[in-house]
Amino acid sequence: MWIRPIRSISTNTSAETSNFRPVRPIRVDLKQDNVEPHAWQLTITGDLDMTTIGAFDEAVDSLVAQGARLVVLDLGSVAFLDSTGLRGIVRASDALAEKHGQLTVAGLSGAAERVLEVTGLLERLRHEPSTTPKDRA
Amino acid sequence: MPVQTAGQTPSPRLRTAWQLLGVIAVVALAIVAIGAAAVLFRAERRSVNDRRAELAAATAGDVRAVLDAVDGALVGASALVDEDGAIDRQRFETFGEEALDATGATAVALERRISADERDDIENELGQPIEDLDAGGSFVTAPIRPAYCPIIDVVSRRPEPQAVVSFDPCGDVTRAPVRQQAADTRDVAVSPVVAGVPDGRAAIFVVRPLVTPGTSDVAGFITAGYVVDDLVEATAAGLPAGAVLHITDDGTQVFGPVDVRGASGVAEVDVLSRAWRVEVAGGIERDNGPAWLVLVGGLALAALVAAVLVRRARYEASIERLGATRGRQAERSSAVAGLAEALATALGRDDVRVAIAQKVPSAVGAQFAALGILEGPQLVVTVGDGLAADLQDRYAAIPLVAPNPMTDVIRSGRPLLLADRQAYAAAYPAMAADLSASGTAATAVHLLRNGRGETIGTLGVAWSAPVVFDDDLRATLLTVAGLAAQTLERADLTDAIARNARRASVRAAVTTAVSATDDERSVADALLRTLRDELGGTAGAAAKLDTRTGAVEVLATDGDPELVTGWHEDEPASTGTARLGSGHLIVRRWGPFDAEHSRVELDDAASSAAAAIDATRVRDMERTLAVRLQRTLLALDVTTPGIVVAARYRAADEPLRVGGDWYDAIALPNGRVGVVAGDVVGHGVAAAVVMAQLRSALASAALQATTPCAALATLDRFVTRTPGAACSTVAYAVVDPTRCVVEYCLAGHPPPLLIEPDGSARLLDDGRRILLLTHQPSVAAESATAEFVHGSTLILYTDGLVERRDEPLDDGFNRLVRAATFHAALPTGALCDALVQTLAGDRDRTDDIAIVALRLVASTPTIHVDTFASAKDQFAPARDRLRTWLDRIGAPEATAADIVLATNEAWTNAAAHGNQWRSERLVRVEAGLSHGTVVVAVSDSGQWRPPVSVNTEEQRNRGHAIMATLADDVTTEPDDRGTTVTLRFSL
Repeated sequence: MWIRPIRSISTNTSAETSNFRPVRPIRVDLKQDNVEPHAWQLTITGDLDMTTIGAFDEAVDSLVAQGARLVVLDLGSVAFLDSTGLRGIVRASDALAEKHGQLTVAGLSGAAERVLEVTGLLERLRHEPSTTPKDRA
Repeated sequence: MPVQTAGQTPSPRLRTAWQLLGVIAVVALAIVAIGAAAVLFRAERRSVNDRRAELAAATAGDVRAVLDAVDGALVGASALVDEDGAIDRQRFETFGEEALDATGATAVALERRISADERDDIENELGQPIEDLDAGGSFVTAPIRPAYCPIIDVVSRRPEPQAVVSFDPCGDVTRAPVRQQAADTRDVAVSPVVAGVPDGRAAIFVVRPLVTPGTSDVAGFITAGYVVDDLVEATAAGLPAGAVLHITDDGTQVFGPVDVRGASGVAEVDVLSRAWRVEVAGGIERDNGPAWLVLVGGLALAALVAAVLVRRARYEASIERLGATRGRQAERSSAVAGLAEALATALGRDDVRVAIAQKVPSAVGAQFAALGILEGPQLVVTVGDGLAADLQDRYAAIPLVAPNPMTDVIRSGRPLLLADRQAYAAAYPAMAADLSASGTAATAVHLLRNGRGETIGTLGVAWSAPVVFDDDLRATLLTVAGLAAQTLERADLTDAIARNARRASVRAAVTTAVSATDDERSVADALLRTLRDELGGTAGAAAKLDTRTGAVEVLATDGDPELVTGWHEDEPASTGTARLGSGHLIVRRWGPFDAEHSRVELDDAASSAAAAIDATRVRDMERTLAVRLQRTLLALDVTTPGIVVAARYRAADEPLRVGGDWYDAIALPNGRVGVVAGDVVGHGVAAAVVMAQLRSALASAALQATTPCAALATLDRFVTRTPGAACSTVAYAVVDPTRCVVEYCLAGHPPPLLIEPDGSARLLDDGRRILLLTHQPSVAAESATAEFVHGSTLILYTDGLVERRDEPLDDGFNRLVRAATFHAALPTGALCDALVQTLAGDRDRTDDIAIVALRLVASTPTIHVDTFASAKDQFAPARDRLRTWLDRIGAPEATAADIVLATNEAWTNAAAHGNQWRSERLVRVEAGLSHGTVVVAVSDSGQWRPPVSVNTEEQRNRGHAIMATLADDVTTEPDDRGTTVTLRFSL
């Protein structure tokens, strides 16, 4: 209720080189908090990997540029997350920390949790229980 | 000495026997020659006399024929007598003339009884009685007057031809007996040779009685007189010139000389009942040439044999004399032999010198001996016992220029013999005092020469009494000098052998020690350790001298560091050097040892060490070269989409050997790809070069050839022009992903292996094969074809994979098929590894192995093969495909997710780092379910680059962490042309 969408960004990342193969896009949804203007919720839907990292990085850069300091990253709908995606998340975290802000991961899909577990980033990225219950198979 | 050995001299008895035989032979030869000549002479004489006898017989025959003719002519005279016994004188005249003509007689006379009237008339005319005339005996010489010989009518040629004379034959007393004989026998009778009619020449008379017909009364006689000369002329005209004819009648000479001397031929002839003897002498030349030849030749031969015998006898006599001489020499020889024996036990050079000086005197009965060895400008003299020590010292070293018998001999090149002290002192006045002191009276000095004829010194022998240098002593001295020279040379030789043995030992030790080392410092260490053991001494050092800069780099030291520092020159030491690279390796050893010899050994050691250092460099180079060759020559660079290829090369045990085995994969038009495995004869860089040539030749041929065998035919032609390429073997296959076939051709090579998608494996050995790539390109081969569906695996390999020495080749093939079936689901690289390990992992690497495996993109119940461009949008679809396959093989969802996640990390690295996001570079993914394990291999076509930023490194580490955590096993195989990451997951 605190958060109202002022702008929704849906990015279709279709690689320039792609041709006949259908490329699955990711959706990056950004929600600005109504009360705290520097607080944003960033929801990723789809695969966050080498293919989509560009769009994610763009979104993060634009948020930071708009003065976002607290970003809640919702990974509950991430179907695939790999080390490239993690690099983007860590980069976002580092960029916010530089501005004395913070990236908080809220909600983890099974794929996301597995990668964070494996890489030991789960501790580093403060983990708030997602509103949607994680459904790790 | 040039005498015969005992074995060649016959024993005296035998020799006498031989000589006796020889004499007998000579005499026999002479006798035979003379005898043969005599026989020949006699035969010749006999032959001549036979021919004379023939002449005599012929002559006698002629005589008889003439006289027979005369007789025959006289027979007709019977017709002159009528029945009353009267003789018709008138008819006689005619008859007489005819008889003369027919017989050649001189006269024909008719004798008849005369009537008393006739008698009176004749006596009246003669003036004396007929009886007186008859009795007077001078009738013959009396003038013949026909008037006074009325009872005889004569028809005669003489004195004028055909004149009829009449005379009284009664007065011829010699004819009376003939007439009487004729009257008595009523037959012809012949007179002896008598003084002939009418001129008194020698003649014979043939008298035939004329008998009154019907009675036996003798009416008269008809007589033919024949002058012997005419007879001879008529009968002996055919005798050769010079022949002497001698005719006798009862021993009375008829014709010829009174006596015939010498050889003659004789014929007896019955001349009208008288026995005549005709003898022919002379006239026939004897030919005694052959007889003389035999005689002279035989005698000459005998003389020759005699001469030989004499020479032989003389020779044997000289042998005997020599033997006697040798007997005398034997005594000295035994002394010399003793000397030789004594010298034989001396080994080293110094021992030998002493032994010569000590032992020589007893061999020649001398006072002492001095051995001078030429060393530079002087003779170093070793003197045996028998000379006072001070004198020994004085002559221990004699300058070559000093006046001394020992040195003079070297200058003159001839032995020097001084028989007594006067001669000695006169020749060397300066030594007179020493001669007195030593009591030396005579000396003999001989040159010592080595086997090459070079002078090595002199041997002097001294006597305390005058000496007669007879032949024996001179010979003995020469022998002794030769013996001494030989012994010295032998000593030098044994010394050299000993030195060489030590040298070899040091060299071997050093070589062994340094061969196990890897770099120059460890070589130097090993070198110094070995030298310490072999040579002793107190310290050692090895250094490298760069001749360009003069810099010395000490590689290793051993022992007293203080001594080594600065290479102390004061301490006794030996140094050896050897070339090393552009400079020298210097080895120095301090310590108390034989400087000259140890220097040689140190040189050797330095050489060995330098060689070892070179070898380590070469080894390094070769190792590097081997690696580079393998990588560059054997790396696969296939960029064809839809195909994965992996290959392995395992060298034989020898690490430096670059094998002749090779493989390749060749991208061909229309998405086809060629795969090849080959074997070049031999190993090493040369084989690698050939292999590279074949590889590029085939790559080029493959692009144009319509069939694999056409490509190999082209390669075959190339082989004929390429040294070292003959007898190479090749298996070549072309895979067409569109038509799903593989076409292949074999040249002396093991057949390819095909693994079907269900894992069953078989060898592809159809088609007509050519034996080898060799210089017989005419042999036609036929390519064979097999179905090659997606999911199949094609494997080409070299014989090292299947061949074992102790089993038939078929066993190897069977094992290959079984192993391939077992490992069929592994990614190609892992499959290659597994096959090499299974088939050849447990045995010596006697041969190298090359193996290459190819698959098409596929997704089957056991394998998943995928290729995609290095582009960011390729990953998600690839993940989907992988996920689908994992689903298909029944992988649990979480495990499948892990596999996808880890594999994604691998190909992310491959695309980013290996392929540098170059889209033409493919990412190749192979996954297989092999015996409960999912094995995933991800390959790229580039090298892993160093990380460019902390971020990327962190991320890559994160990626690695993901793979390492999720997979049971991660292996990374980088090479020049790409990297393969293999992940294994247990289901």
